Amino acid sequence: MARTLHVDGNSGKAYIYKGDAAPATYANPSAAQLGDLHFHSDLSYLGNTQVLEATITHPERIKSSSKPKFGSRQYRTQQGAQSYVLGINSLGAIRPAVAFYGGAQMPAGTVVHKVGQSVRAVSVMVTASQIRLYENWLTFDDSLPAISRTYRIFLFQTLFAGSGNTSIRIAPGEFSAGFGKLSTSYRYLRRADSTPDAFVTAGRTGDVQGGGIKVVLPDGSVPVQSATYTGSFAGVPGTGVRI
Amino acid sequence: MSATFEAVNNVIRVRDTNGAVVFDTGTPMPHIAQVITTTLGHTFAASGTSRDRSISYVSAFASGCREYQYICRTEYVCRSVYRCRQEYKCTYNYSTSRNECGYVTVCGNEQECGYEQVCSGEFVDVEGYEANEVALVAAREHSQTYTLGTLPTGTNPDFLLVLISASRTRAGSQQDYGTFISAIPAGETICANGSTILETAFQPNGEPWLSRILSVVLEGDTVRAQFKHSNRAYTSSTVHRSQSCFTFPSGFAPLDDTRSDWTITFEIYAGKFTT
Repeated sequence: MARTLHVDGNSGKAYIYKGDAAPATYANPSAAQLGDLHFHSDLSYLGNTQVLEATITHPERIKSSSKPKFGSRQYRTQQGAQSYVLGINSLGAIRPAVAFYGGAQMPAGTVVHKVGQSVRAVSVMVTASQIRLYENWLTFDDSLPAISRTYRIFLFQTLFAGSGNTSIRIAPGEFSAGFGKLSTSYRYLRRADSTPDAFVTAGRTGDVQGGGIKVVLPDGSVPVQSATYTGSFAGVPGTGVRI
Repeated sequence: MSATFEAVNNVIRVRDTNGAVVFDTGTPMPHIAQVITTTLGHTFAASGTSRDRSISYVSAFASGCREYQYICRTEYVCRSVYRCRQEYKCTYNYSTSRNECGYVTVCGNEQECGYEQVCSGEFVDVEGYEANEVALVAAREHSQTYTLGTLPTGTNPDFLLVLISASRTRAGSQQDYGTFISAIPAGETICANGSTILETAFQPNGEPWLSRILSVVLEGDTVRAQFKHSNRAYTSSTVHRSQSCFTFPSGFAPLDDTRSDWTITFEIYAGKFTT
C-alpha cells in the first residue's frame, strides 16, 4: 500500500499516512483514523528512552526473637521499608516507564526475596530527579540474608509539544518534520515483532485466586505463580517494542 | 554520513547520521492518543471471621477455683457418756448371816464410740474450665471494577503506560505476622503497567494466603481499574488460652481485620500503533 508524506504550507502540519487519499482527509484526524497514521504533527510520541540498569544489594534483615527463662523461643514480626537510588532521572520529569527485575518485566509490588514467610517486595519509583527502588520487608522466624538484585528501567520521554516553526527540513545532518516531533535527534519507541526490548500491554499481567497469585507477562512468560494459586489466568499478549 | 530520507517501495524511512533507522513506516511507532489523570478510593472489605475453640478441664489442684459446699463425712466418733444402770447386787449381812440381794442404781462415765455423719459448710478446690481459641478468616474472592476514563469512540488504543501514586490509608493485618506486606510507597509515583501487587499475606510455609492486585486495562475505548482480592481460609497460628471457674470461656481470641483502604491517583498514557 502506498504511503503518503504531506506537509501543509499553511498550517505547518506534517503527516505520513497509509494509502494515497487526499491529504485533507487526515489534516484533523478523527479517532477512527488514528490507525492509518504513521506520523502526525498533532499527535504525541514516545522517544529518547533513558535506559538505566542498577544492581542493588538489599541488606540483611535479621529476625527478632526472645527466649523466656521458662518456655520456648518466641519470634516477633519485624517489618520495615527502605528506598534506594537506582540512578539519576536524566529526563528531569516524571514520565511513564517499564521496569525489569532480572530478565523479566516487573509488576509493581513484586516479591524479589523470600525465606519461609519472611519476604521482601519492591516497586520502582519515578521522581523528577531520580529513579528509585522501594522495598518493604517482613521477617518472622527466618532472617533474610543480604542479597543482590539487578533492575533495569526504560523511562520514556514524551513528545507532546512541538517546537519552532519548521514544518519539514531535510539537511545533510538532520531530518526534521512536524515542528521537531519527527526528528533524527530522537530515538522513537517503535514496534518490534522479533527480539523486542520490552512489551507494552492493554491487559492484566496478574491474577489472584485461592489466595495465591500468578503473573503472566505480555510476552507470555510466567515469572511468578504461587503454589496456592488456583485460577487459570493465561495472560494477555502484548506488543513488542524497541527503544 | 548524512541523515537520509527515503520513499522506496511504499516505505518511508528516515535514518540519522549514524545510519540508524529513526522512522520507518514498516515498523510503526506508537503515538499517545490520550493521557488520563484521575483519583479514586477503594476499600478491600474484610473477609468473614470466626473462632475455633478446643476445651478441657483443669484439675482442682491447679485451677485456683474454690467453691462453698455443705459437705457431710462419716466419722468414727467416741465420746464420754454419764450413764446409770440397774445392777442386781447381793451383799452378805453378818447380823443375819444371810445374803441380801436387790437392784441398785450404778452411775458413771462411759466411753461410747461409733460412726456418724458429720456435716459442715466450707470452701473446697474444684476443677476449672479451659479453652484454647484461634482466629479464623473465611475464604473470599472479590473483584470490583471502576471506569477511569473513556477515549473518543473508535480510538481503540493498543496499550497503556501507567503511573500511580497510592496511599494505603488503612492496612489489613493478621495477628501472626502483622500488617499485610505492601511494596507500594505512600504518595510516591511508581510505574504500574498491567497489574500491580498491592498487598500480600503469607502463611507459615511462605506461600500467600491473601493477595490483592490492581490491574489497569482497556476495554475498547474505556480505561478501567480492577481491584481483585483473593484469600483462602486461614487459621491463625497464634493460640489464645483462657480459664474460667464457672463455664467454658469463649469469644476471647482477637480476630484478624483484613480490611484495607486505598487512595490511588492514576496517570495513564493510552497509546496506539498504526494498524
